[in-house]
Amino acid sequence: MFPRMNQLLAISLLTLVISQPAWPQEPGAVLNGDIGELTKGDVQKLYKVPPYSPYAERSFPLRPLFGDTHLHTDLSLDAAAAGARLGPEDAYRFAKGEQVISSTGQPVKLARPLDFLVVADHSDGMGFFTDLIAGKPELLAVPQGRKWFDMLQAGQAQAVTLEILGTFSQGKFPKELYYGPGNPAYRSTWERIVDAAEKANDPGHFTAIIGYEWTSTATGDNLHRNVIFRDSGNKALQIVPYTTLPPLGSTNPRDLWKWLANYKEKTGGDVLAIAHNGNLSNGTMFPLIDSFNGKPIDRDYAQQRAKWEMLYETTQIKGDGETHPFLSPNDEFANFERWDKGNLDLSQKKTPDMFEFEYARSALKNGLKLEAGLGVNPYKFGLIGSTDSHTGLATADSDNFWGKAAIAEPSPDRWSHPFMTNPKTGTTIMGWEATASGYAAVWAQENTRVSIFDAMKRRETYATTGPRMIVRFFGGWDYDAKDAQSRSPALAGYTKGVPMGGDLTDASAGKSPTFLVAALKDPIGANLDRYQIVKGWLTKDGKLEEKVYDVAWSGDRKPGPDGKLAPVGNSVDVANATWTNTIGASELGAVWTDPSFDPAERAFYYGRVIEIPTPRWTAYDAKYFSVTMTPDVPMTVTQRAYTSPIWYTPAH
Amino acid sequence: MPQSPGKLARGAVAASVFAGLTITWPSAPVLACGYEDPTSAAQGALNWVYPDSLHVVGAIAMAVAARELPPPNFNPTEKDLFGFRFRKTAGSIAQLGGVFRLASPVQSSLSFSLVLVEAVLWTRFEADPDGLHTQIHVNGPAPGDVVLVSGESVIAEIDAGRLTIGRAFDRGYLRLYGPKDRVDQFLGLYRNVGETVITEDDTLGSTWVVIQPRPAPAAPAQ
Repeated sequence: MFPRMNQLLAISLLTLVISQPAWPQEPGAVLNGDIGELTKGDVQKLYKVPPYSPYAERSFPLRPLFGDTHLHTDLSLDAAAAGARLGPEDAYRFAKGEQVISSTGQPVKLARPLDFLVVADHSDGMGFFTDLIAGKPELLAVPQGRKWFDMLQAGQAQAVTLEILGTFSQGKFPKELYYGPGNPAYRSTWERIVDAAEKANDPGHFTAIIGYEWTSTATGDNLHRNVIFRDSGNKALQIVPYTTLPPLGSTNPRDLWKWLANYKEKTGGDVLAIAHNGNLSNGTMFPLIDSFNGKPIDRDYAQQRAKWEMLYETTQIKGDGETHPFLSPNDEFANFERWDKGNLDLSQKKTPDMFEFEYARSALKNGLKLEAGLGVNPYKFGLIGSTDSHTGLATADSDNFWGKAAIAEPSPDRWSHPFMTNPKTGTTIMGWEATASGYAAVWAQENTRVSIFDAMKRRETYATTGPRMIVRFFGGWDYDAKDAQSRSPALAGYTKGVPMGGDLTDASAGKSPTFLVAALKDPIGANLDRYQIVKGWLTKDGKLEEKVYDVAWSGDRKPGPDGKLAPVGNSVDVANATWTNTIGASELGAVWTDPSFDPAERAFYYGRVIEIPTPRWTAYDAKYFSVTMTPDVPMTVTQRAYTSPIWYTPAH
Repeated sequence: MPQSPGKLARGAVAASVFAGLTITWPSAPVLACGYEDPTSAAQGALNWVYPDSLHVVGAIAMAVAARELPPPNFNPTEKDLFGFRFRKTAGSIAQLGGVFRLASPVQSSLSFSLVLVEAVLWTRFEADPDGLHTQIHVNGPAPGDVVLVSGESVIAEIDAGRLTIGRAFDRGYLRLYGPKDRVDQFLGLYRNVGETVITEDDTLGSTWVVIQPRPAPAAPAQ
C-alpha cells in the first residue's frame, strides 16, 4: 500500500543505518561506509520522483471484489430437506454467470458474475439427506436407514424428518447413519465440496474459496460461524469440518477456536471464522457474560475471538444486523429489515435487554470498553454481507431474489406463507420479511484465494445489502479537501492514512482525525443519497456513545436545526417496480474531520452509504405475479453499504 | 427431571441443522396436511423422492405470471376459519375424482395418487372392480401407484373445464411418476379429462349429474 521503493535506495539506506548513526546536515556532505562514499545527491538520484502515471508502481487494491461467503447447496441437510437440488458444482456455475435451472424448474441467471464464492454447507449432517434419498447402500444396510428410506418413498417425508429430529434429540440416532467426523461418508462429502471448489477456482478471474458452516445453536440461540480457508485442497483435505455434536464437536465457540488453531498448526495453512445473525442469538452473540459458563468475558476469550473472528457478516437474508432502533433511537436509518422477534427457532421471544449484545454497532462499542479493561478488543471486526441462501443461488438482488430455500423460490404466494412459526411462543416470521441481502466486498489486490483471504484478515472489506457500489474509506491526520477531488482518492488515501479496517494512534497535539470518503453508485443500480460516518467512542468516565454524521450527500440539501438532513425523496413506482435516477448522485466524496475528537478516548469510525429508495423484492413479486399484498408488506427499500471501521486508540 | 447435558446437546444439534432453515414442525394431527402450517420438509422431500417434482411450482408460477393460470386458490391474508381452505380443495379433488371415475374403464386396475404441492395433500384414486374410488387426505401413495404431482389451481382449472390433464402435463403443471408403461396407460386413459364439465341440475326435482362438453371460448369481438 505504500509506493514501492527503489531497491538500491533501500539497500543504501539500510547500509547507512548500519554504518552511520546520522546523516550529515551540510549539502554535498559525504558518508563513508562499507559501500564507499555516498553523497546526498547520489541517494536523491536513486530515489525516483513519482512517475508520470500516478498508478504505476502502486500495489494497493484498485477495485473491490464482490462475492458471497455464505451459500448452501443440497449438501446441507436443511437445504436438501427443503427441496434444494443444486449442488456445489451448480452453485459455482451460477456464481460465474451461467444460467441454471433452479430447484423449482425456473431459469435463473445473475445480472453480473460474482468475483468469488464460498460454498458453506452445514457441517452437521453434511451430505446425509441426499445420500438417504438416493438410497445409498451403506445407509440402507442400517435398519433405521432402510425404514426412513421406505417411508420417504411412501410419501411420508414429514414423518421421517420428525423421526430424525426425535431420535437425534434422544440420543438414539444410529451411529452408522451420523454424518460427522469418523464416518467415511462424511469425509466423502467434504472431498466432493473441496473438489468442486478446486475445479471452479480460476485465479485472476473467479475464486472458489473452501469453507463450511459450523452451526452452533445452543438452546435455539444462533451462534453460527462460517469457516473460511486461505488454502487449497491439499491442506483443507487434511481435516474434516468441525461439527457441534459432542464428543467430537461442540457448540461452544471457544472449542471452534481451538479447532482453528489445530488446523493451522497441523497444516501450516490459515483459516478464519465469520459469525452472523446476532439478531437471532437472543443476546449471546457479543456477550459481556459468557453464556457457556456464566462468567464475564475473560482475556483469553477476548484474545481468541480477536484472533480468529476479524470479520462479521452483518447483513443477510435473515435480517440486517448493523443496529436497531432501540439501540440507536436517533438514527433515522436504524429501522431496516429487522428480524427481532426471538431466537433462531423462535423458541424464546426477544426482550429489549438482549439487543445490546446482538448488533454490530453496539458490539463495536462494547469492544472498546472490553479493550480498556482486558487489554484486548474481542469485537474488533470488519464488516461483510452475504446471502445465507439455501438454494445454491448466490443472489442478493431485489429484482432477482430467490428466497432462503427452494420452497421459497419465486411464486405468487411465497410472500404470504409463514417463513417460520413457533406455536409455543406464538411467534411468526412471514415470507415477506425475508431480506434480499447481501454481498461481501473485498479490497484485494488480486482475485485469488490468498489475496482475498489476506484482505479479509486485515479487514479491508465492506458489506452491501446487494448493490455493488464502490466504497472507499480512509482515516488519517492530514487529509484535505483536495484529496477528495482526485479521480483516485486511493492515491492519497493509502499514502496519508489507513484504509477501512485499519488503526490510528499517536494523535499529534491539537490534531483531529480526518477521513477521506468516496463512493460510486453501482453502475446498473440506483443513485446515492448520502455517505455517513458512524462514530462510537468510550468517554473518559466509561460511557459508550455513538453519533452518526452526514458527511457527503446529493443535491443542495442543508442540515436542519436538528442537524438532520432532509430525505432525498422517492422516485419509486411501486406498481411497476421501477425507479428513476432523477434524484441522488452518482458519486459522493468528501474529507471530514471529527469535530468532537478527544485524543484520550478510544473510538471507532465506519462509513455507511445509503442509496435512494428502490423497489423491494416484494414489489417485483407483486408486479410479476399481479398480486396485491397486504399493507404491512414494505414495497421499497434503501439499500446500503457498511465499511469496516477504523479504530483510534490513544497512545499510552 | 432435568435433561442431561448430552441430551441437551443432541437436541440442540438436531434443532440446529433444521433451525438454520427455520423449518416449522407442526403438531402431529397435521402430519399429512399443511393448511394449518407450512410443511416445508414434506414439500422439499417431494423434490427428491419424485425427482424435480417441485418444478410444477415453477411452471405454475410462470403460468400465473402469464395469466394462463389463476392466482392461488384462496386469499392468503384471510384467516382460514374452520378449515375452509381444506374443504374447498377437498371439494375440488372430489369433483375431479368424479370425472376420473366416469372416464375410467370398468376393468381398469390402474390406481394412482395425487399430491398437491402447496400443502402436500395426498389423495388416492383406487381402482377396484367397482370402479375408481377417491380417498382424500391419505398418508401417501400405495406401492405401485402412478403418482401425480400438481397444484391446487391446476386441479381447479381442470374441474372448471379450462384445462385438461394432458395439457397440464405437457406444460409442466402436472408431473407423473411411475413405471413408464403405467404412466403411458394413465395418460392414455385420462389425457382428455377436463374437456368435459360436470355440473348438477336439480330442475327436474332431483339432482342429476350433467356431463357436457367444455364451453367453447367466446369469439373475439369484431
